[in-house]
Amino acid sequence: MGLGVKKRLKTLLQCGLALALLASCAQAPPAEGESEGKAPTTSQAAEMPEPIAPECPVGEAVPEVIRFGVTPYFGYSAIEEQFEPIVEYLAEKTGHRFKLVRAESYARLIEMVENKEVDIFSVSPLSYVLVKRRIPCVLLMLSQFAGGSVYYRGYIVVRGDSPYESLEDLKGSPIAMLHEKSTSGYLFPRAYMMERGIDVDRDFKVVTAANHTEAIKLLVEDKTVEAAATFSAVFQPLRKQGIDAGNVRVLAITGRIPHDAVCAQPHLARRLVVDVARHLYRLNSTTEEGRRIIRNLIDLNGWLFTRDSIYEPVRDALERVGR
Amino acid sequence: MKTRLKVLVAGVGMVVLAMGIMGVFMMTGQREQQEREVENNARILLAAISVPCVRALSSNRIEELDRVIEEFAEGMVESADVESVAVLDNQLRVVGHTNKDLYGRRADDEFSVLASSQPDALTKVEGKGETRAMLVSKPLAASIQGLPGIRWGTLVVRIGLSRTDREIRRSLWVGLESVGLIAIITALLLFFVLERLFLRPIARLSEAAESIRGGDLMARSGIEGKGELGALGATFDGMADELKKHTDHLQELVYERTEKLNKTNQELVRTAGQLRLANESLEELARTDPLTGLSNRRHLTETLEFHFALARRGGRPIAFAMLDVDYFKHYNDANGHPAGDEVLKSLSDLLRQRVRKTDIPCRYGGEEFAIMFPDTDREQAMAVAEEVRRIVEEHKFPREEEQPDGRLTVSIGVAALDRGMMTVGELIARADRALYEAKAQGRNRTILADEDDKTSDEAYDE
Repeated sequence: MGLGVKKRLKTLLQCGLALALLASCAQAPPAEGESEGKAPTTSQAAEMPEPIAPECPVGEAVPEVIRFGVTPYFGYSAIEEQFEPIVEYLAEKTGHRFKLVRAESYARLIEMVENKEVDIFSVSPLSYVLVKRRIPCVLLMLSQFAGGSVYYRGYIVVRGDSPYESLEDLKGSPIAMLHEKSTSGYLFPRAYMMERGIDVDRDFKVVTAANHTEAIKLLVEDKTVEAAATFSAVFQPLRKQGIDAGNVRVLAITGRIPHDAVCAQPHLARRLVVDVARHLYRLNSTTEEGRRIIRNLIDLNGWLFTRDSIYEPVRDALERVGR
Repeated sequence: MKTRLKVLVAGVGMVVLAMGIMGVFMMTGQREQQEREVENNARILLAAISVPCVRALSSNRIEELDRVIEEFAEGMVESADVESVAVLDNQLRVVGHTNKDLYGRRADDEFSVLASSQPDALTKVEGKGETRAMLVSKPLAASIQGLPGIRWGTLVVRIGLSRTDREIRRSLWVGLESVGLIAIITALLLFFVLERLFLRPIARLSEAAESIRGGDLMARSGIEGKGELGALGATFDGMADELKKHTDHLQELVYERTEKLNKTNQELVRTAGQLRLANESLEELARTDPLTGLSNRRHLTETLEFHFALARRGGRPIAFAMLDVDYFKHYNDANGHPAGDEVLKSLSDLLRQRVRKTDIPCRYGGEEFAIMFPDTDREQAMAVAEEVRRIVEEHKFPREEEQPDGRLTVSIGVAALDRGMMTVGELIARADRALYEAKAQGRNRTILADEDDKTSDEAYDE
């Protein structure tokens, strides 16, 4: 009992410290991600901005090898060249050993988090929300800043020569979507269509693709589907892979979706988490080194310190689709 | 009139001064307000383009940045007086600009350097006149809910203020013209009100004071009313009334005193006349023998000295005769002194009757008489003296028969001025010696003294 009280006091102290630091950093009201006048430079240090719930344990673990979990967007093979430089950078900057842990799917990554198979992990917005539901004490570190924005949007696209001009026209046709843990490939398109009275399972023939690349391939190469649910930044990497991404037309655009989150297991030592977050925050396209390291991640410009509240649109979408 | 002119000049001066001050304040105020508006507009502008700029810059899509700048330039540059928009990266390189010639150059001006190093937006006004411009910067950064963000560069917009300044000046002039017109009308109205309420009463007061000073004690200001000026006018008029009363009273007093003084003067004049007469009488008494009424010896001597000096200086003749009553002691002894005095009086009357008006007879002392003959030579004098002796001889005096000669006679010595004679004493001495000569020759005769009889003269002068 005595130990429990001590821990709680320590946690409270840390929370207070974090809040104080947060107050010193925070200057402007919430915005979509662009400057609000005060513009701290990348050289400015920052602690964990997101308050930690009092009931959460104070992590003290400093693993010998820090496992960095990621989800493949465009196929399992691409993930290594996307994240390996980042992991190497973190290892160099923090002095810890890192290991890139690739999850085959979003669902698998969530499972890995639950099973503590990863220590730090980059997850899709939906995955973050789901992980947070199950492990409330998980530490939200950063959000991706990509394509010049904190947010991106889900697209429902058809082939360029498609006769379909609207979702109504498209009804009854096969549509490629990702599995249910994908934010832009599943959740937001469903929520978007549901708002417009379209039941995806009833009105479309859903073909589940493993990732965004496969979904576009099904649309433009295999032509086994008439539409695909994907996201705004999908085309550039597809072009790199030789896929005719130009031969698509956007039929619908969903609401804005926050980018992927980088989180840490609650059992990790706070100083380790802060150290990793700080170095990841400093890794961005403002420097030559940053551009070189993150060049393989789609449209990524860097990471920003973030708050859980920016993932509310995801929770709203989940609520709309009844999950 | 002078005061009115001064008030008018002062009024106009104050209006001009007030307009000047107001103009400066209006100008300053308008300029500040205009600058605030320009700054706000610039911030709105920058906020609008900073999002796509951040997006393009962070994604290294310079072509997109170009498009943003171009669109901005087409839409905004002319209408908003925007002279230039520059996007600088963190190394101060120009990565976007409304002037594409500047791409790739390093922006090393003071404002750009400062703006790139500051986390906040900056504003600065620089230049003068037609080159006056406002520089506004905005960091091109991304952050979430005010948390530390990433900065990709800086947006700097330069907005010309010359047109704004011209508009301010124009509106200021329009404003000043209207205000000036109102101010002048107000000043004139104020002047007329002041003139009516203050200057005119003051002028009336001044005129009344001037009239009173000039002697018109009936002058009054005639100012009425309840105000301070009314009270002043009433006090002044009251003072003038009092002054009039006082002056009238003084005049009455002066009149009375003058009357008294005149009377006193008249008394004095009368008294002075009496005094003069008394003096004259005294003088007359002093030079007149009291018994005979003839001049006395002192008067004769003074007069003789005067006429002697006059004759000597003018070369005119003068003669002198000494006369003595023969055996007068005898007469007195025989008849008493009063009778002797009567003889002397009668003799005096005879002398007065006989001598000429210019001749001066006198009682020389005792029974001796003398006659001065001004402007008369020895012969003439001799003739007169002889005539006197004869008349006396012929005159009937009381009890003269008791005299040794049986009658009362006189002996006369006559002398006249000659060239060698220097003093009156010499003349008298000669006459006196001639008298003794007449006595010596038997009395009742007239002897003319010889000329140049020095010895006798000296004896007399002793």
